[in-house]
Amino acid sequence: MSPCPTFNNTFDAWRERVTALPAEHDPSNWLEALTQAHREDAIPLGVFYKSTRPTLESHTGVSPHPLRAGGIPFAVRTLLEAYR
Amino acid sequence: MAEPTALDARPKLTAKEFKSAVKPTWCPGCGDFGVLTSIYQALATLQVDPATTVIVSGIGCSSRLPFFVRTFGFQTAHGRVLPVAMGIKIANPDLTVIAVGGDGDGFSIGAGHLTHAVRRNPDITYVVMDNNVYGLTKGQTSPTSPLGFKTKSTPLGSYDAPINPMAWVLASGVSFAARGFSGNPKQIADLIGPGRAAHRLRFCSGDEPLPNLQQYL
Repeated sequence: MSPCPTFNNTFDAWRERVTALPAEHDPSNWLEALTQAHREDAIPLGVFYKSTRPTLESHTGVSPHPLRAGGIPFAVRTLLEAYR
Repeated sequence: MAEPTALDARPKLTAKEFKSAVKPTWCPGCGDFGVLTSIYQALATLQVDPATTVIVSGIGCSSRLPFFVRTFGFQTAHGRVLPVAMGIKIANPDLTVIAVGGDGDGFSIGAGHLTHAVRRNPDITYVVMDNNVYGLTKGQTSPTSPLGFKTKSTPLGSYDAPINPMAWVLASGVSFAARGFSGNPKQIADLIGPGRAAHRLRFCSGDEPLPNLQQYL
């Protein structure tokens, strides 16, 4: 949240409404994070949610074959060959 | 030719040293100054190497942010910050990639990319500077403007209910989501900096890989 003082100055209004997420908020609780996201009485700040989903790089194998290291990865080259 | 110096052997970079020579062009008092300060602080906390860090943006007032940071920068077409940031990360996963932008860029013209970037879960940080208005084009309603918001484009007040970005990314399956307020840059720096460092540390130590698409809204 980053107010625009020129066209929509919400600095004071937001400053009055922001509040920390409850101390007991568990960031691994997705439903509770969603509930906090829908709060209307205040604007909660802090870490709403974090999970252990694998990253794109960790499960697609892009890391061992970065494009900078040797052009098109072998698996992709094989696919392209099929269209020759 | 001299051997390149290992990052650890280099003098520690301060937040100030991440400032570029370009002075911010934002209006006096703009909330984005607070976010920029927090990004300088977070980069210094993480001691990232400016030579292996890319800040990507789209179009908008907040999308000017990469100009003001002494790292690599890439200002893309309007709304395309996430596809470009993902492309950079896939081409060279060793880079630290930070995507930045505003509510218009991210939630309006770039809206389609957000859900799908979240699904893919690349290891990048996305910082959205949400001000509930289009500032660069002099004040029209944005996807997060409240119902009844009066501007030149909506003289009778906006008829459209605002979206809830936090609920949106949670519903899309985001792996890390946090919110800060530019009135408190230190908190944002903590959300972007040590929060991210903790994840990286766990990632490096071989635990279950952690997060990826992080959001500060």
